[in-house]
Amino acid sequence: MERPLQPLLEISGLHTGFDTYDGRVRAVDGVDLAVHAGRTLCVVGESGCGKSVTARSILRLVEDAGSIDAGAITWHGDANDGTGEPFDILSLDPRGKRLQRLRGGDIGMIFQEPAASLLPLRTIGAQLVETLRIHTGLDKKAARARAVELLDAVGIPDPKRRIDAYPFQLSGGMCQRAMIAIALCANPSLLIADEPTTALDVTTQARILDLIRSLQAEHHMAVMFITHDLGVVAELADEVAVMYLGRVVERAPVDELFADPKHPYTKALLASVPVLGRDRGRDLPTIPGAVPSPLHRPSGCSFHPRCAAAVAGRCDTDAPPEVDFGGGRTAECVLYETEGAST
Amino acid sequence: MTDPILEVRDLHVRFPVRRNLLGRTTVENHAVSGVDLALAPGETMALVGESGCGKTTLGSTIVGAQRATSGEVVYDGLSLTAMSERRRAPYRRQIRMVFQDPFSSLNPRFTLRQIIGDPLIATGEARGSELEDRIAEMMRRVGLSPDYMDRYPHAFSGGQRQRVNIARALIVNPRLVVADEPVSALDVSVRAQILNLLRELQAELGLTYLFISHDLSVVENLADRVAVMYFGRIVELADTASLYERPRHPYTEALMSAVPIPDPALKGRGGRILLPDELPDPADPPPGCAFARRCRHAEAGRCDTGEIPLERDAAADPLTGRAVRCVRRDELDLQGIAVTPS
Repeated sequence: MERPLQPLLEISGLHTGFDTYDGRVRAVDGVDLAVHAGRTLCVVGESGCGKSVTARSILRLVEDAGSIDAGAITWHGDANDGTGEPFDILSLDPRGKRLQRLRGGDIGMIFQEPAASLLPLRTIGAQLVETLRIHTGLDKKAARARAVELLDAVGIPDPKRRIDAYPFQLSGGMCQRAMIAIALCANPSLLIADEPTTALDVTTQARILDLIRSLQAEHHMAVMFITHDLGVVAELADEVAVMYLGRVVERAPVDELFADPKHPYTKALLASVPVLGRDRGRDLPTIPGAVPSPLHRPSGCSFHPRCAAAVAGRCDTDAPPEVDFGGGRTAECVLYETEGAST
Repeated sequence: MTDPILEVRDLHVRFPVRRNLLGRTTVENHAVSGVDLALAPGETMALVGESGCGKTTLGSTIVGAQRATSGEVVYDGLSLTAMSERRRAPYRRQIRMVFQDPFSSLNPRFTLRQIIGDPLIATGEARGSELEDRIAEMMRRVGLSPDYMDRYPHAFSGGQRQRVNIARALIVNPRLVVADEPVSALDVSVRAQILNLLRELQAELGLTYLFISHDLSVVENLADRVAVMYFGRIVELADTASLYERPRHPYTEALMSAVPIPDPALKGRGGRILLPDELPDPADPPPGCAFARRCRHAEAGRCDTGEIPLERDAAADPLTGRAVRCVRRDELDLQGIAVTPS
């Protein structure tokens, strides 16, 4: 598999936390990830695993409620196209021009609830034109013409008329298309999609995924796709990162992850999902218990209380080693410490 | 089949959208338009379809939370829709509902004892130590420790709350449970636990389920039979195996092809059907088949005129046999899902 030496975006040692009445929640607790140009990274995990907070940390959208305590988020986009040096997004001035250009310019983002992320009192056209004018410097008339083109490109029928529609006049699928049009209007090199199809029907989901795939091929855009749905992962991903309680527990190219999952959590997760044509009428294997609150993170490996393969005296006391199998595969688990290179 | 436990006959539910000066309804949304359905005792019937297809309205009309505009809900041979509220009351204990969202469906100011015991307390059926014993027994049955009886819902995870929801539904020994998307809001790793629990309780207590869901993988796992709804009508009704292996309504086929399969080897397994977004206006249903405008098999002149009936195969059981609402049902060869043993 060819992969460029330099990733587009590199996250290392990211820690993001929130203060609550019950204490500090370490939502993201040491995450390393890399997104490569033109490829799709799926981040998969259950609620509370820190996948959304990781994504929001990239654009520094968490800092009102929480704070990024440590780590670096390096943007190589400028270096890759020869216009500048790599820089750490976390060291940017939060009110500065570069961060503003990054948000919606270099990096587009779409969210789970399309209708809730659009402004209800402004037409989708007005919201598109505003973004276009900020990031491309087009005048009003040209921006409107471009907005119609974009709405057409994301498959909104009759874009000349729909451009003046308010979000409530459009279905969920149409709102998500409008969101995608806004996210794409400055030709970003990276699209971050945070569960963009979770609130949609399967038939609408199929069309939105199809749209993201074709736009990606057209613009050679990188996609970081956050989801809890393993079916969507199989369909879309090149690389997959599995998260559990604030950490990436396994990382692999998509085919290898499904064919040969390493981490006990990944294995259990894959087994417990009913699959069309496989699990008719039979009891499903389960993972005991529930995801613990990040306030009460278990000691040692945070998955050990639910893990069938946990080693007493080891998994409940020591942090698991990260084992590198080579070829972009890693797993945080003692079961593999004799294989590969531990770090 | 044996006598059905529940029959729905030509059920219509319409919601007023606009009234004129005199308070007369001038525009109505047709949520459920002529549904016929029969459930055999002990089976799990799934109701699937996209949001807005009327599946939840149908479910709440069956439990009596929503009034039918016309048609009948018949339980054990008795028409519930014809009964007065008073006469219907005892039957409310026999048909119970489990809701989708385990966070908003439990009163945060009640303890589990109050929530689960409420139906018994309200009717005065049990009190004191008998009440306590029955609540404890029910909690154990759904996999909750009775030690938690005096805690509040906020202390529990989504999966545990859904167990509370199930306990509350089952404490009055119902025979039929309408479960509206009971696992949709749960984490993937907890979903399997609740599906297995529902299966276990059904075997133990002989329950009949009407399982409302948009998730075809979950439905295939749990249901004996499936009714596919589109635009307020049932468009296909069949046992699970035949429906998934060989759908006969183009909408069923499209719905199945849209489900992402967690196996990258099957990526682009050909035949994904992308439906255009054109949903008909529920206040002004089109003539003919409501799906025709999105259907790749539609034929002008046949699919867009008249009323297309839900037709049952000639040899099939008149109440439960396979039925399809499509004029081309015998001409088309549609794609299902092949079974692959794991």
